[in-house]
Amino acid sequence: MSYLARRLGHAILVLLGVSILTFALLKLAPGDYFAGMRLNPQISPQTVTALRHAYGLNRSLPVTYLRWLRSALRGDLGYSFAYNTPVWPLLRSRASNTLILSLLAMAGAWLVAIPLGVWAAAHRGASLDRATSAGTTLLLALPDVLIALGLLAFALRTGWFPTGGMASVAAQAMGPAARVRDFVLHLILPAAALAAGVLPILVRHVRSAMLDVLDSPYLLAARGHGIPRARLLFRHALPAAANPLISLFGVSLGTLLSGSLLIEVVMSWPGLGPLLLEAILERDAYVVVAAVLLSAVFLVAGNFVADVLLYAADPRIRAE
Amino acid sequence: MDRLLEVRDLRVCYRKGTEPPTHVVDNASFDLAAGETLGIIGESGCGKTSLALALLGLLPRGGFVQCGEVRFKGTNLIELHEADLQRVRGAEISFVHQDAGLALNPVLRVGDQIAEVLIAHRRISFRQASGEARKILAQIGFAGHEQIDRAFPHQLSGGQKQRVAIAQAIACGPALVIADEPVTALDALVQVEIITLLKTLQQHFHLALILITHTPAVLVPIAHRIMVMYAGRIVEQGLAPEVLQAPLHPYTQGLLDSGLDLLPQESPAGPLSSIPGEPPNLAALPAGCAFAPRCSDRMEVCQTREPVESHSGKSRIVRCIKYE
Ligand SMILES: Nc1ncnc2c1ncn2[C@@H]1O[C@H](COP(=O)(O)OP(=O)(O)OP(=O)(O)O)[C@@H](O)[C@H]1O
Ligand SMILES: [Mg+2]
Repeated sequence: MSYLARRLGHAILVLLGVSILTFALLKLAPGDYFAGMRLNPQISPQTVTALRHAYGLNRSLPVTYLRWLRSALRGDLGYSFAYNTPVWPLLRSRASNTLILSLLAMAGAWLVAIPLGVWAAAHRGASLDRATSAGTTLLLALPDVLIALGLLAFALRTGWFPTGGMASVAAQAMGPAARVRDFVLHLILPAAALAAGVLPILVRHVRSAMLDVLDSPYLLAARGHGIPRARLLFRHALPAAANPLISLFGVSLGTLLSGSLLIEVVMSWPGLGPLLLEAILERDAYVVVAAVLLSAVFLVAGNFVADVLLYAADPRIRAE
Repeated sequence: MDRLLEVRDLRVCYRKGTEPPTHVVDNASFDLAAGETLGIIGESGCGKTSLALALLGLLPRGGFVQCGEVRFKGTNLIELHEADLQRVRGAEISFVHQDAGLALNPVLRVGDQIAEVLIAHRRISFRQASGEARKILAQIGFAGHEQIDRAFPHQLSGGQKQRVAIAQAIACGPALVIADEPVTALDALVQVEIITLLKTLQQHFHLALILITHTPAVLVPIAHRIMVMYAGRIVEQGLAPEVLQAPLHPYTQGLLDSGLDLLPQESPAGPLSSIPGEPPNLAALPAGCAFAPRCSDRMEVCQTREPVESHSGKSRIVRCIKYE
């Protein structure tokens, strides 16, 4: 219980810190949303000043922040200048698109990484292991953007996959089954690009965690009891190697929202990425703050989930 | 007596990098009958564990058997493939590892760890195996502890962990159990308990037992025969009473000088070897007899010529130039 309270207090501090920092950075950056209007001869400087006044952009940083904080605590995250709507509904639909994409990529990457890492560790030094390690090095060396562009080129060449968005223009007119199919086709390439970015890191962690355990006396003992190899790897070694992997899983949950921003922009997936990029370029301040805050919430939650899983998975941690 | 295990001219090597392999066990030959207890004794680093692991093809990375035979019920285990060996391990021959504290998986319940051995060798469900595991635990000295199978290794004492490791080893009713220093890490009182347990099990199941130790006192109550190892060689073997009462090899004599009392009354420091010096580096053995530099009966020839085995009596073998 005290553990939970401590965690919660910690989380609140992190979120406060992140929001203050985001506000301060936006304030320090030159210009604001209305600065661009000054260059437009059709809008009088008085109008611009009036607008800035109306949105409270002329106030000092502490005052702006405190006003934002008060309304945020009431569940109102502010207003988007660019979209002319409240921030939260805008953010919510974009964030759920991002979540769908990155959850799928994450699940795919882990499902491939675990057997591959276990297999490479079990064949340490053999050609299979060396091939895996060369493959992961290659993937690590390739910038994510390049992988995304490569996949886009592939889609254009073959015409098998659509190259952007999450639905075809004609989707509205389709039946439900065709619409799902259309959605999945749009999802595959961005998810593959995202998964390819994290896969090598996961494989390496799984492999090295397994190597530590495979040399342990209790695994030698289990082998001495004639436990078959597959069972030895997955029932005896993998649970014992799980701790660092669970922590990594927590981190990967935590970066679900922020990890896919670049891929989303390059492959035009209508998630948080393009929204945040636009908002930063246009100084759409409240959108930026809310998006960053949402990412921070995920980070904190991811760590918390990892702690809970560790507690469930390791009897030695429970004992403390 | 029918022979259960025959080991002939076994040579175990470790390879490191491109250096020539080090022989850590050489020329090892011995027999074991069903139901017999063989004690293997020698200082640290003389190749006891390597010999035991080699019997079951369990040598760590870099280790290999260069030549020799290990016949178990007539089959040469050295020639078996991994898949066939896996059916022998735990079912016909099991291994109790040095330091049970490290030999149990820290994240699995002890009952499950015993059940795992049963599942590996028998066609039974996990449920049946768990029930069986509980029975074995009760049999092996946990009769009063109802929930012991639900415990994790870190919740048990050293002696309890060793009991669990022994339970794993006997779960499938093997013909031979190899116990590598099963009591070295334990308190003297617990040592006596574990040795007594091994003896009871050995009689009850008519087990053959290979018991490795560097404390001769451990062998007194249990060993039928004793084999002494030094620098990778078997330097003496024979019936336990003969070897313990009238050791032939100067090395055996030195080992036994430290006393045969498991619970020493006067010297609580415990048995320490009274032989001066250290065992040699196996990668750079001296010419002649490996024990010569530490030997009190050293002669001139000992430094130039290697001793060969000489037989005296029915089953007494000693490798020392004095007796040639
Ligand atoms: N994995 C390994 N790689 C290389 N050399 C090894 C390895 N394991 C053991 N050795 C060497 O083999 C020799 C015999 O070791 P072994 O563990 O068999 O001795 P031991 O009699 O069991 O000693 P202890 O009483 O300390 O357990 C030692 O010189 C050791 O340095
Ligand atoms: Mg040893």
